[in-house]
Amino acid sequence: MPIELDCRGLACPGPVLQTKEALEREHPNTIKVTVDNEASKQNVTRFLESQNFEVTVEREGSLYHVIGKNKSGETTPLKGSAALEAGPERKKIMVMVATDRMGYGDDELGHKLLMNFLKTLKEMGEDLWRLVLVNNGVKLSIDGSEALPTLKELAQTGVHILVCGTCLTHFDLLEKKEIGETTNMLDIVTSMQVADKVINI
Amino acid sequence: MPSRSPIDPEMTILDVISRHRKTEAVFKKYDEQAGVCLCCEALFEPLYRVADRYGLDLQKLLNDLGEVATNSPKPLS
Repeated sequence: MPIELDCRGLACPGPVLQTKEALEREHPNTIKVTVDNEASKQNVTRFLESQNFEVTVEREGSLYHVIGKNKSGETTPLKGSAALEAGPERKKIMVMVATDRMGYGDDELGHKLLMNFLKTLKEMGEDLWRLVLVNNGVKLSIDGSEALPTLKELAQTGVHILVCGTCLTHFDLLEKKEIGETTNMLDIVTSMQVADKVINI
Repeated sequence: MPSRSPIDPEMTILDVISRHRKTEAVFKKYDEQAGVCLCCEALFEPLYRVADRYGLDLQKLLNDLGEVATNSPKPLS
């Protein structure tokens, strides 16, 4: 049975705790959690993803509707916190993009190539685990970026997108980020350690 | 750390709070020292990493959490 949680007015960890308790109690295939702050949106998303839910986020004014659908379609026992580190059992490929264009020489060509690269990434299927954007790569995640639709599509298929917070701050783009979880170097290094393969662009 | 503390440095903040709800107040107490809302920024991080990242005294954090957890009536799950 789909369930809905109204977590407006709740700060972290309230929405995640309510979500966790709802999964334990009702084992839903679909859950919709409404929150009103960025931290709760990110944490509920991350928690649901760790429990093998495919997550989409719909924005309505100041509200976020975090919608999770169980990927297996079956009710499964809750996974421990280790799942938050490693994700479900599959090959884990991490792609780190440190630029908004591919290669050197012609910038216009480089930009086109990178857009094409991002669109083609989905061919990795479920093996594509994390996409990490650093340095100029964070510009792909902001409002108005040509890459945004492709990144949203990847996120909807379960790819975890991490965006370097230091880089966003450096470029004064923190408020313009439209997709991905703001991250730091420790998370990036830990991801590299956990990944089966790291591809650097 | 007390020898029978229910809090382990490998536990995440979410692990701790979901088992011992009153420990949320302990994390809130550390927010100022950490400079961030720990429950917002590090909910899924193990305690040892939280302490390292935010410059907290891990032993003191474990002691504070252990004391509250031990005196809590009953874990939720």
